[in-house]
Formats: sequence, C-alpha cells, structure tokens
Amino acid sequence: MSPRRRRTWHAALLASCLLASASQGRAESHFDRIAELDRASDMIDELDLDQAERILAKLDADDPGSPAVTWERAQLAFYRGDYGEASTLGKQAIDAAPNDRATKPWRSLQELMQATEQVTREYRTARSEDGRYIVEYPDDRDRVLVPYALDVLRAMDQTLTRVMGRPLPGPIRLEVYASSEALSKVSTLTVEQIQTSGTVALCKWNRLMITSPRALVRGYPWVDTIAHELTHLYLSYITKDKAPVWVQEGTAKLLERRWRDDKAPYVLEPASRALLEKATRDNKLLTFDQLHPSIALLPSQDDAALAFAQVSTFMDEYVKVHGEDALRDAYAKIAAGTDARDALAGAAHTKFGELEKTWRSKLPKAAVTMAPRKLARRFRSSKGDAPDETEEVTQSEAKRFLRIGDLLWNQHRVLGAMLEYDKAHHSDSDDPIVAARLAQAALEAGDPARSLAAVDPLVTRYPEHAPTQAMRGAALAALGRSAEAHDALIEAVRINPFDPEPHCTLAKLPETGKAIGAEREACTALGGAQKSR
Amino acid sequence: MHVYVRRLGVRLWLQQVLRALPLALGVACAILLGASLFSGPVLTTTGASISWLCVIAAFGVTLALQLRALAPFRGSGIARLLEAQDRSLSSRVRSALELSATSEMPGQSPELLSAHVAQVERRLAELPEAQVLPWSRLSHATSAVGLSLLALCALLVATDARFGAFVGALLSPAPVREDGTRVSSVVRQLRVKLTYPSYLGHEPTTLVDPIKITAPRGTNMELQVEPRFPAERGFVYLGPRASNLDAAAGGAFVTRLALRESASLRIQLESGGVRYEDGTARTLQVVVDRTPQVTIESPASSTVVEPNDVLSLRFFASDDAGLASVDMHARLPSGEVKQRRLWSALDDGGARTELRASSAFAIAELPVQEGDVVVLWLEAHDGDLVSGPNTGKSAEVSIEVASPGKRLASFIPALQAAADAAVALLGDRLESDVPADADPARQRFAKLERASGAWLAQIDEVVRLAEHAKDGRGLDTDQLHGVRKRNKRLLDGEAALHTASVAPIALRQNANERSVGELERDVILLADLLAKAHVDEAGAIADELRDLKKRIEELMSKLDKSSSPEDERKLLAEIAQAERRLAELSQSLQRMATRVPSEFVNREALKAPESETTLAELENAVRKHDLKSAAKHLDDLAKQIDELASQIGEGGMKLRESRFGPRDQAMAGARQNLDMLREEQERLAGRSESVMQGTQPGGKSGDDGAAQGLAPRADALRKELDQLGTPGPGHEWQSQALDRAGSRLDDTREALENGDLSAANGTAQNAAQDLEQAANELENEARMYPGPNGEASRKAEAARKAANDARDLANEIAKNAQEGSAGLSPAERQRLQQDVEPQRKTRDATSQLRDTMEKGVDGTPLSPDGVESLENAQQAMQRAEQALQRGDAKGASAAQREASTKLAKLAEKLAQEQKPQHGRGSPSDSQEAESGDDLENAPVHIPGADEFKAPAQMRRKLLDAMREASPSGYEAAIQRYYQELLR
Repeated sequence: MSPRRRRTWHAALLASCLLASASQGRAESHFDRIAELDRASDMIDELDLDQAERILAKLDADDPGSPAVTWERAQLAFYRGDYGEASTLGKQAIDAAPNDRATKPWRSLQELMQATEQVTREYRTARSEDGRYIVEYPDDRDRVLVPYALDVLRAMDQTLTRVMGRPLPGPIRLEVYASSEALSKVSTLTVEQIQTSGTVALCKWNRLMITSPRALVRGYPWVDTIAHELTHLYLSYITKDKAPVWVQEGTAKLLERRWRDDKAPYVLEPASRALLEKATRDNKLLTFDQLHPSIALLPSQDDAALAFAQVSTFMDEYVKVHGEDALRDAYAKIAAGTDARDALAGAAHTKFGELEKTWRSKLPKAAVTMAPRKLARRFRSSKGDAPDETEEVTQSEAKRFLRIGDLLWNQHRVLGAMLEYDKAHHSDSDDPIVAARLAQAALEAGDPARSLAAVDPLVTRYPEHAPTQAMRGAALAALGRSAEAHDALIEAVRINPFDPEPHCTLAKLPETGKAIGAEREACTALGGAQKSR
Repeated sequence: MHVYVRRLGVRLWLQQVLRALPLALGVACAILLGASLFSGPVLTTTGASISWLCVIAAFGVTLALQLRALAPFRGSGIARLLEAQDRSLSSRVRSALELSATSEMPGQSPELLSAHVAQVERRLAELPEAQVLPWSRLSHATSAVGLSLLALCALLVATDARFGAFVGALLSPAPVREDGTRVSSVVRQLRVKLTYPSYLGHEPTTLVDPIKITAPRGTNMELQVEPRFPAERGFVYLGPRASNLDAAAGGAFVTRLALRESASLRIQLESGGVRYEDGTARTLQVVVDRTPQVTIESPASSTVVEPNDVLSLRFFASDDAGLASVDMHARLPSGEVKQRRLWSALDDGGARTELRASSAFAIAELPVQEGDVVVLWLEAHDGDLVSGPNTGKSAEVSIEVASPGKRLASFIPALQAAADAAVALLGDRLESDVPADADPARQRFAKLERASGAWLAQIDEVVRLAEHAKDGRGLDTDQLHGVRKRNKRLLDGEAALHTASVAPIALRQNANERSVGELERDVILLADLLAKAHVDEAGAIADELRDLKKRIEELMSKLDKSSSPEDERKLLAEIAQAERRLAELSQSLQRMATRVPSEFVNREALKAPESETTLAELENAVRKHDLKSAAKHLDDLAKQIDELASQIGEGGMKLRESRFGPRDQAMAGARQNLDMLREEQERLAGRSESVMQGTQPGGKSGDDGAAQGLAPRADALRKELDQLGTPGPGHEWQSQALDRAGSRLDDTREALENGDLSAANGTAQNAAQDLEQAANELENEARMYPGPNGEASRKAEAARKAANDARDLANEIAKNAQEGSAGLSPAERQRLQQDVEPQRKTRDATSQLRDTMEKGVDGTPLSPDGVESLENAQQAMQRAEQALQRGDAKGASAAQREASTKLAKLAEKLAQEQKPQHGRGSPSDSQEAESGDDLENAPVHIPGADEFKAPAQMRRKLLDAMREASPSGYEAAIQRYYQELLR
C-alpha cells in the first residue's frame, strides 16, 4: 500500500472516531495521533520496526482498541514474523472499524496474514548461533538447505553491509516454501504468474521467501537467489523502500554472486546475454517503466530474463564507471525522495540520458555463433513426478537416441546405453540433458575421461543445469581431481541439493577440508545408497 | 590198554542205548494210544500234563530195564567181551586190569606187571574194537518190538482223527476261557465264497482257509466250516456279533452273511456240551467305496474367453469302484447355477475306474455378457448302490468373458517381454564388438542368432495373442509383422556371412550396424506400442466401469420402483464386478506408472482408492436396502470414474499425439495418395476394358488352345523347382528368390489354364528373373562351399537350367500373346499406346508411395504389409504396361484390374487400421454423444443455399493451386479432385 493511500485511510478511519469524540474537545490530539500513526506506518515500511513499535505502544496506551492502531500493530507483527498475532490483530482491527469501505484493503492483507499463518504453522526453525539469521522450512526434507542457507546469508550480509554502508537490523528471516502453490498463498502472486515467469523467490514484509528447489524438476540456483533477495531487503531498508523495481532488480542481479567473491566482476550468463543481444538487434529492449511493479508480472520467462539482463548490465555499467560510492550516494538520494533516475544521474554528476546512452553503447551487439538455449524452470506437476527431462531435448534425433539409451539404462545395459547416448550427443552436442546422461553412463561404464569430456564444454554455457554440474563433479572426482570436483559438486548442490549423488561424492572426496560429515548425512537422508537417476 | 578198554566201554554203552531207545519210545507211544482211548477231542492243560507224565514214566522204565544188562561189564568185567574172540586174552586183560588197580600191594613186581601189560597191549593192538563189538549187535528183538510200536502209532496219528486230535491237543493243550470255551484248532477247513455287489460287475470268488478276507461293503459272504471232530452246533462271530452256523452234509456247517464293516472272524463249535473255538485268528476287511476324484485339466482358472468361444473342457476322473457320471456346473454372476451332463456310464458302455475326456461347450450357451465371471466345477458320481452314490467335486475354475480391457491385458505381458527382449538384444549387439577372427565371430553370431530367434518367437506370440483378442483398439500387428520380417531378413543376411567361411569383417560390421539400426527403431516402436497398450487398457477398464455404473444406475432405479430379491442379487453382482474392475484398474495404473512416460500421465490423479471405498459403501447401502444412501454413493462413484476416465483419456491422447501423431499424419497422406492412385488405375483399367469390349468376340488376346498347351510346361518347371528346394544330404539351401519364382510359376500355370496369355506372360517373365537370381545365389554358394559330393554345384546347374527353361517359356508365351493381339484396329492400338505413359507414371507414383511407406517417419515403415501390397501392385502395373505396349487389351485390362484391386484392398485395410476409436478418452458422459454411433442418431442439419456457396476466395485459391505442377503419376487424379472441389 502506498503511503499516500495509507494516509487517506488513516484519516478516514480516525475521522469517524473524531466525530464520536469531538464533543469531548479532544480534536487537536486526534490530528497529532494521525501524524504519529503515519510515522509508525512509514517506519514499518522502512523496516525500522523497533521505533515503530515504540510509537504504536504509546498510541495504543492513549487510545486502547483503536482500529487504525490495532491494524498497524498487526502489520508490525506480520513484519516480525508473528503471523498468528498479526492475523488476530488484523481481524480485531477490521471488526472494530466503523467503516466497512475503509477496511476493504485491510481484508485482503488480513487474509494473507491468515494464509501465511496456516502455511507456516508446522514449520521447523533453524537459527544461526548469534541468532541474526533464521531459516524456516516446511519439513525435514528441506533440512538439507539449512547449512548452505545460513552460510550464504552470513556472507552476503557482510558484503551488503560493506556495499550499502550500514547493516540491516536483524534478525534476517528466510522462509522456504514447498511448492509454487505455497508461495502463491503467502504472496500476492497467482500460481499461473509464478509458473509463467518462473518466479521462485520474493522479498517482502521483512522476509526472504524462496520456493524449495525440490519443487522444480531440475532445481534452480537457490543459494544465489537467497543472496539476490537479501539484496532487495537491504535496498528496501537503505532506500526506505523507495527504490523502483528496475533499480531493485538491477542491483540485486549485479550483486547476487558477490557473496562468493567480493571482487569478482559481473558476468552475464550466456543465455541471458543471447537474449539481450537479440533484443538489442531487434530493438526490442524493455523500457524501464515496463518493469514496474514487478518483473514477476512480465508475460513470459524470457521477458523476465531479458529484464534482469537489461537492469543488471545497466547497474554494472554504472558501478564500473562511477564506482560504489556514487551508488551509495544515489541510494541516499532515493531514500530522501529523489526520483531514481535523477538520483543516479545526480550521484554521477550527469544526466540519466547520458547514463542510458553509455549503457546502450556497451550492450553486446555481435550475434553469438550459437547461443545456448534457455532452459525453462519447470515446476513439478505432482509429488510423484519423476524428474524426466527427455521432453526438453529439442533435436529429434538426439531425443530418439536418448530414449533408446534410457531403455538400455533401465535394463542396466550401461555400455549399450552409453553408446546410444553418445549417438544422441553427436546429434546435438550442445544439449546439456544429453551430455549429462552420456556422462553418467560413461562414468558408470568406467570411463570418467569420456564423462568429463561430455559435460565440461557445457558447464559454462548452462551453469544452471544441475545434472551437468553434478556429473562434471563426479567425473573429476573419479579422475582424482578432488579440489575441482569439490567446487563442481558444491555448485551442483547450490542448484539442486536434493540430488543425493553430489552429496555422496562430496562425502567420499579425500582431504577437501570441508564438512564431510554433513554431506554424508545428506547423502544418507536423501537415499543416496540406492543409486538412481 | 586202558585206552582200548575205555573205547570198548563207550562202544558197548552206545550200542545198548541204541538198542533200548526204540523199545522205550514204542512203549511210550503205546501208553499214548491207550490214553487216547479215554480222552476227549481237546485236551486241557491238566489232562495234557498227566498224559505227558505217563508217557515219560513208561519211557524211563523201559530204558532203565534195558540198560541193566550192562552191569556185569563194569570194571575189569569188561574183559569178558573178549572171551568170544580170545579167551586167554580175556583172562590176561582181566588180570592186567586188576593188577594195575592194585599196584600198591606188597611184594608185587612193577617190572613184571609192566611186562604183562605190554604183552596184553601188543595182543589188543591186533584185535580191533569193531571186531569185538560189531554194529550188527543192534539188530535185536527189542529194537524190532520198539520200532513196530512206533510205526503203529505213526499210522494211527495219520489215519485216526481221534488219535491225531489227541496228539495235537497234547502238543498244544487248549486254554480254557472263563466261560468254559476251549480254544484250539477245531476247524479242519474253512471255505469262503464272496459274491460282490452287482454294480461292481465282478465274478464271485472262493477262498480256502483264508486268514484275512477283504471285500467291498455290501458283498455276500458264504461260509462253509468243516470241524476236526463231530460237533453238534456251530457259530460264527463277526466282531461281537454272533450268527448260527447251519449243519450241512458230512458234519460241516454253513452260513451266509452280508458284509457291512470290518471285524474279526471267529468260529465256535459245540461238542458234548463243551464249546470249542477255533484258535486261528481271522479278520474281515470291508472296503468302503471311495469318493470319486475329478479334476479340471483345462481351462486353467482365470482364463479369459471370448463370448463366442467354444471352450474345450478337459478333465480327469477316477473311482475305485467305477464312475457312473460326470456333470459340469456353472455358477453365473447372479448366483444361479447351471448344470450339464458331460459323461455317463450308460452311454459309454459301463462304469470306468478312470476317465480322461474333454467336452466342448459354447460360452454363448450361458446367459453371460462381457466382463462376467463364471465359476465352473465338475461333479463325478460313482455307481455305489450300497451306501452311495458318492460324489466327488473338482476345484472351482473361474472363467472370465473377455471385456475390452481384458483383451488388451491378454497380450500386454507378452508385449512387455518382447519389448524388454528387444532392448536386451540391442544391448547384446552394442556391447560386443564384431570380432575379426572367424571362431569368435561365429560364436558371437550364434549367440545373437539364438537370442534373436527367441525374441522373434516372442513377437509371434504377441501377434497371436493380439489377433486372438480381436479388439479394434488393440495392437498394430501389421507393425509387428514388419518388425519380424525385417529382422528375419537381416538375420538371414547376416547368417550368410557366418557360414563355413566367415565373410570379411567390413561386411559383417556393416550387417551388424544394419541390425543395430533396425533394433533401435524396434525398441522405440515396441516401447510406444506398450505404452499405448497400457493407456488403452486403463482407458478400456475405465470405460467398462462407466458402463457398469450405468447398469448399476438402471438396476437401482428398477429396485427403487419394485424391490425384488432377484434384482437385488443382480445389482450386487454388478457391484461385485465393478469392484473387480476397479482392482484391475488399480493394477493397470501401477503398470502404467512404470511403463508410460510421466509426461503422459498425471500419476497423482490416477489413483482409485476412493472409488473402492465408495463401491464398498454402495454395496453396504444396497444390502441394507438404503437406496437413498446408495444413490448418493453412486453419484460419488460416477464423479470419480468420470474424473479417472478423463485423466486417462487425456494421457492417451497426449501419448498418441506425441508418439504416433507424425506417423498418423504420414499415414493419412499416404492414404490420400493411395486413393488417388486407385482411382487412376481404375480409370486406366476401364479404358483398356472398353477397347477389349470393342474387339470382342474376335478380339481375344492370344489363343486359348495355345495357352492351355503351354500350361503343362509351367507345371513341369514348377516341379523342378520343388526338387531344387528340397534339402540335399549335407546341403541346405533356402532362397527367397526361389520361393518367389515358385509362386509366380503357379500364377503362370493358372493364367495359362484360364487362357490368359497376358497375365501368364507377366508372371512368367518375373519367374524367369527370380530364377536367374536364385541361380546366381546358388552358383556363388557353390563356389564358396561345394557341399558333400558337389551337391551345391549340382543344384546350381539345375537352377541355371530351370532359369533358362523359364526364360524360354516366357518368350513362348510372349510370342503367343503378340500373335493374339493381331485382331485390333490401328485406332484401338493407338488408344492402348496412349495409355502406356499414364500407366508408367502411375507405376512410378506407386513406387514412390511404396518408398514413402517403407521409409516411414523415422525409418520404421508406415505399414509393412502396405509396402508388400504396393510392390505387388507395381508388378501388375508393369505387366499392364507391357501388355499395352504389345497392344494386348485383355492382358492390360486384367493386369490393371489386378493392380486396382490390390490398391483398393490396401486402402480398405489401412482405413480399417486408422479407424478412429470412438468412445475412447472422452472425459465425461456428455462427450459420448460425439461418438460415431450417436452421431448417426443426431438430427441432420440441412445447409441453406448461402451456406453451400463456396466462397470466391477459396475458388481463387483452388484455381491457383490447380496451376501448380502435380506430382508425377497423380496428374489426372488431382485434376479430377480439383474439379470435384470446385463443383
């Protein structure tokens, strides 16, 4: 809800109370209270929750049971993650409000509070030792995410504190949802919007919300996504929630991998780069206004990917040219109410048109000889849905040989399967699905070099394809290249932590100095003893 | 001396005892004889003891008196025995004995004594003991007396019953029971005559002195007892039950008894007021007639039969006494039981102890419908009239009348096995490289050949089962025939490379790659067919469930109006059937989960436990007569079934579209081309026919007489080929070319006999070509492997000769045909000539279509049978072309008609195979109205004049399209097609 609309509702609600109490000569104090209530509401939006709580406590003491105050208290509880309390207070506020029309917008949010309470009622909770990071997840299967999630939260928190200039007040909460349906219930997005745009995470109401990678057939880069969403949370706090969507997304995309290496330059992934090239060539770049209110509302996954590519390259170019200090200055200006374009231009001592011109001039134009195709994020249609990617193989001969290979593989004819996968690979050597199967069969047939040769060229082209990463790791491990294997396997886990094989291989790696025990536990918990594809 | 004397003494005692014993025994026997005069027929133990004492006393006294005669020979008196031989020696022995006995006397000279003794011993050594006491001394009067007495007693024991009985009783004295009955052997002979129950048909038997009598229950037993002594009365005891024996002639007793149960058999006699029982233990074993045994050997339980099937019921029955009849019983789903006699002893000439027979019965005899389960069992009865008849029952066998789902399920396991075997075979080929050396190459191929043979047999089995299932929604057996044929051809080709001399590795690798390529296509085809079969099976069961639901609905409504136990029973039977179908559906869905790719099935949706619960609740409600609640459960059931059917239907459509869509499209195109070709061929045939009719009656092609004159040559040539195809010793040769030549020669002969020189010309030319090919093959083979005694070379020569003969015959026929067409006018000849080019184009188009059908979408032929049919049509067209060139109107017309018929048949076959499957996958009842059957009843919409005008734009498009070049061979057909459209 925008501050202006909120103020109107506050005024309307309090006006009805005012009429009731005017006879008692207390009108002046009521106007003061409206202002105080607005301030508390703003502070909630700006994530200054402690200050908001103090103001609301005072207002509540002065006028116990006031619907507007009760509603803000409900919001505060919601932002703090106390969904039961939020839902109850919200209901009280709605029931107590004299004007039904005024409470209409409240009702939808109260329903969301209630739905969130229902979805998270049985959730498990894990906390970091210092209590700053909280991970809440639906059931024991998602426990495997916790150590990785806490690691990334900690690392990204430090990075963002440095980049943004000050830390975010804690605690930082991450909630994991079992499916896109659950994510839809706790957000304002429909399931269709989520699945069309491939949305897997959100940052709102002072919490990070991600869909469990097990809800997707191949998983997704969920660890970087947590970093991405945390960037949004920081930006909301730093800019007092005034940064427009494109600034938010551009910054988040730019910084989402910084937690791995603070100095690493931003690299656009090949598929996004190809999209950007095509859009530039065809003059189909999205305008900055089109990205509002959310990238998740764009009509397709390709549009969403293009939007991310545009805004991230814009912000990357900005930082490269004007530095992080200018970025921090721009955020401060945005927080002060300056338009984001003017703020960025002002901080860079130039005009926004110039910034845009510079960015456009740096956009990749030359067509890549063969752009990698974009692998869609496919949500599982049902619980028992096997992660079968065969249908996504585009080349028909490759698909045919892949099927034959699968038939042989299912009869444990490993060598035969490998030969058929090899034929499929020859038909389409750029298909990561085919390559991963060939790699697996080759590995099983005792030929790790062949296995590595199949997936190695594709790992940079399809960095989000978990089986490719996992097979590369397994092949490297079999070849005795433990350090490289470790990195590849961890990368696989950062995309699909529910595949037991990377955990099991990690647990067997010698001398990597990492948490072998946890990997062994994950391997067992995920049924890694029974080998399966 | 002392030794001599001792020996002499022993001899004396022995002779005396031997002489006394007969007398003593004789006296004892005489005492027995006397005692027997005073005793009864049976001695008690006391009487026997006294008798024995008397006998022993008499024996002892007699013996003692006899031995008293030895007293004078005691001590030195023994010397007396020598008196008769040498008196002085007797005296000297006596003195020597006495002096030796008194050696301690004073004054006695030991030296003198020793000298005396030595002298006596010298004399005694000259006199043997046998001379002193010869054995002839035994011949003595006392011995004679004794022996006489013994002989007399023995004679009496043997001849005199009384004495004999006495001796017997003495040896085994009878124990006396408390009631005074003496137990002893009192029966001299027992005769038993057994007369069996009439139903057994056995002759009577007689037993003498039996210890154990075994007879069936109901047997009559006639006893005849001969006592050892005269008795006044007799009794027979069977267990505790006593019966009197009737006196008969000769002191015997008789009686007659009917046997009921086993018991001991005892015989008692009464004589002189004393009762005696025969001591021989006898038993009577009454055999009870066993229950007949009957087993159904076929069909096995859970057999699925078609409603029109005639079932052969094979059974085995046995009975110890004999079977009287065997009946079949069938319990219908409604609970009603039908009965039918399968065998009767009356019709078969009498009872049999064992019977193995089969009886046919038509399922249609029973009031059953698709999906019903009938429980069959047999009952065998014996002819036991005494305690029977006994009835034996076989195990129950359930027979299910096939429903669409069952028909599909009948071949799915076999198809699954064949699909798995294909994958295994492909794995075998891929995982073993073609060896360079001969021996490993042969071994590898032998292994592959075995596995391939087994796999092809599995394919045959699938085809057999699928064709038996006769379900329109079943399997594309044409494709399976194609798989079989192609693999067989490849395997034969590969076998030729692995004979005694193995072909070069490059050739073998090439053959292996071809097989791998074929198998790759086949494994996908089989996997797709299997997936489709699974989806179809589930769909068919879901459809059946919907039908059942409708029937349940109808029955419930009927029950609601008028409650009758019969309707309720029917309703419960339908519910039970629905429960069975649901269980099958559950299994089918499980199979689908593993065999049908996940993109075609929503596994979460395909679960049926709720329906099972609903059915159970429905059944409960019906049993409780709670029709309101039953109606509610039925509604729930209907929704669940519709949902399930919808899910399966959608999955099936997706599968068909994905896996078979491209093929179906290609097939639709091929069918369209085929239709056009058929029309064109029809047209050409019509033109030739009109020319032919114009030349009649003088326009016959060739001369019938000439044709018939050539027929025997074709026949002789055919016989030569038969000879050629017969395997020789150590040389087997199979050639498809030879087979083809054979069948073409058959066609030639037939055409000649019918006077059709044109047709004969074509087939003879083809036969000659095939024979030349066969001869080439055989010559190559003979070069590589001449066979024992040059068998292959001889065959090659014969094949070459046959090829030459066939060529001569073909030329002769052609010559005659040419002469026969002489009656055509130049205009007619020109008209025929004009058709040569269209006919050639049609043939070329047929060839293209054949190639399209063979190539298919991904290398798998669209229709293997279609390819063959098109090849045949092509040959007919070629013959037509030749006939047209010759100006042979009749020949051309016949060949064109033949080609046209083949094309029409193929079109019909393909249309049948491609027939849309109504009622499949329709998600709800409302969609059923769209099926073909319902469309027939739907109101007909008559278009108005405006609706019927072809839009001008479309006409323009058509005219533009008409200007484009048509594919070769289709010109005329396409022209007509456009004209029809524009009209």
